[in-house]
Amino acid sequence: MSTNNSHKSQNSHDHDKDSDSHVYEEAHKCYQCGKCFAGCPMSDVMDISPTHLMRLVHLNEIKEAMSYNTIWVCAACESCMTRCPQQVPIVEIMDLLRQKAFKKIQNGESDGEESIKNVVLAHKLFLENVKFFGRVFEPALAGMYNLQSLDWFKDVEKGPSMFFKGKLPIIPHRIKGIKSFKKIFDNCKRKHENENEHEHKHEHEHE
Amino acid sequence: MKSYHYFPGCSLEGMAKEFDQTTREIFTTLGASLKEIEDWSCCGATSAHFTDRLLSYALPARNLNITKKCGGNELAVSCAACFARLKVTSYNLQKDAKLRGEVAEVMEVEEKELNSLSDVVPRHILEILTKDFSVEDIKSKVIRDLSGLKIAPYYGCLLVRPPQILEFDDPENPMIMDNIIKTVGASVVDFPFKTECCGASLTLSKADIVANLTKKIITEARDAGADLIVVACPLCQTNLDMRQLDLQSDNLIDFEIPVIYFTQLMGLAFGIDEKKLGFNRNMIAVLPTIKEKLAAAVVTKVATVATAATSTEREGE
Repeated sequence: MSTNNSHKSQNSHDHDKDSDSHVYEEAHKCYQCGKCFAGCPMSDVMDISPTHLMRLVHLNEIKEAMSYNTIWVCAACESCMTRCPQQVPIVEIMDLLRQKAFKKIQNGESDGEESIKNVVLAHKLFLENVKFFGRVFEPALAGMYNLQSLDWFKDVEKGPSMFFKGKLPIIPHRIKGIKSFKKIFDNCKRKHENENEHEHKHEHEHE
Repeated sequence: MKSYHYFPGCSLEGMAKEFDQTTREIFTTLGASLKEIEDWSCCGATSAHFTDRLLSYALPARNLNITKKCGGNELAVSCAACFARLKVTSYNLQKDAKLRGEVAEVMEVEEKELNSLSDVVPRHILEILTKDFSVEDIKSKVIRDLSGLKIAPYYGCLLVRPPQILEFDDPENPMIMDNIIKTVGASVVDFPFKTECCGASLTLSKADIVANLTKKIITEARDAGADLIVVACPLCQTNLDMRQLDLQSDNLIDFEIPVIYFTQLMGLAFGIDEKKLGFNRNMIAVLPTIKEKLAAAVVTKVATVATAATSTEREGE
């Protein structure tokens, strides 16, 4: 990572560069045809289109790209990537932007825009749920989401009939290997923290 | 006897229990066995790959590793989302040595354990039913005439995209499920929204947008003349079925269309006990539609036969 950065230290946007830069460079293939935008099911609720987002990544304006709701309201349907005439890995690029933005929100470095707060919350609660049980326990996930998003009555009217239809399990299943399973989450977290420190150190050096 | 290692996935233990039950039932009917892999865990789904790259590979890799340890070289998967995550993981771990090292590190396993994961191929059950069984194998088990049912086959996103990794079927006009539906005797309507996204990954946090996408898909199915929508993904089923209640209460639609799994349809054709098919778990009632359409088909058939008989009699006179 460090060699990559120092190599490009002449770049004025150097602070946005990181180990993921080779994936971002794929955006250079984009010739702005707009096909990704045309087939995107979420395009009408996005701040900026996927096409515009690729342009920002091309210009290495990573921080700006991360600031729009586009990366979070993306439904990950992968239509854009499938239809791209240049085979730009749009979803992979967006995944990197999301992962980076998520890390910043988790570390309290960024608040995240109001409209995407609940999307981020849903992902966070989903993974916490999985970490605890080893598998998703849907009733707990829906309950925690309603509680924490302050949307207490979301889909509540469906609860009773879903319960009687046997769609809501009552007793959660916890996997046997939960101890080592949880470790995977902790190890990932530790690895990210190390990377973070490394990045910060690097930014300071360049300042 | 054909035998497969099987990964049900979290949804098939909860919301989509009927998908799991009917998958097992039809494999039993076809004389194949499914062995659930021991102590499997969540594949991380969309949330993992949206937020944490390493986790999004480590979680599916754990399940591939379990399969490997059970001596399996194939893993049968029902859920489209799990299928996509397992397949993407298997593909990228094989291709990227650096990633393999990092994933082994967070999983606390030897890297060489992950090297051999490429021997485990995740396969969606639609693919298994199409490739490992002949049309005759399936047709010979059909005992109920479903020719009165018109079906819109809905594949959604995660079975077909990204095509270069999943290698499942044509990403714009897949036919695997169409062919299975025709094999068991129902008819397929021309449905242009086969692979449109229903937005299920945002169903918790952006329900209004998701309801809108759902509306487009079910309206298109209705306009195409379908009696039922048939799916292969628990997220699509839950979304398309449950969101119809919201759309109705907001007066955005004035019709309803049942959404079932292709395994339920196959079970129906195979004459499996209706109680085992789990139609009672749908939010939009299924059985009244099926009974009405099948009865109507019988009436039409009887009428055609009767007309034919009368005309032959007349000719005889």
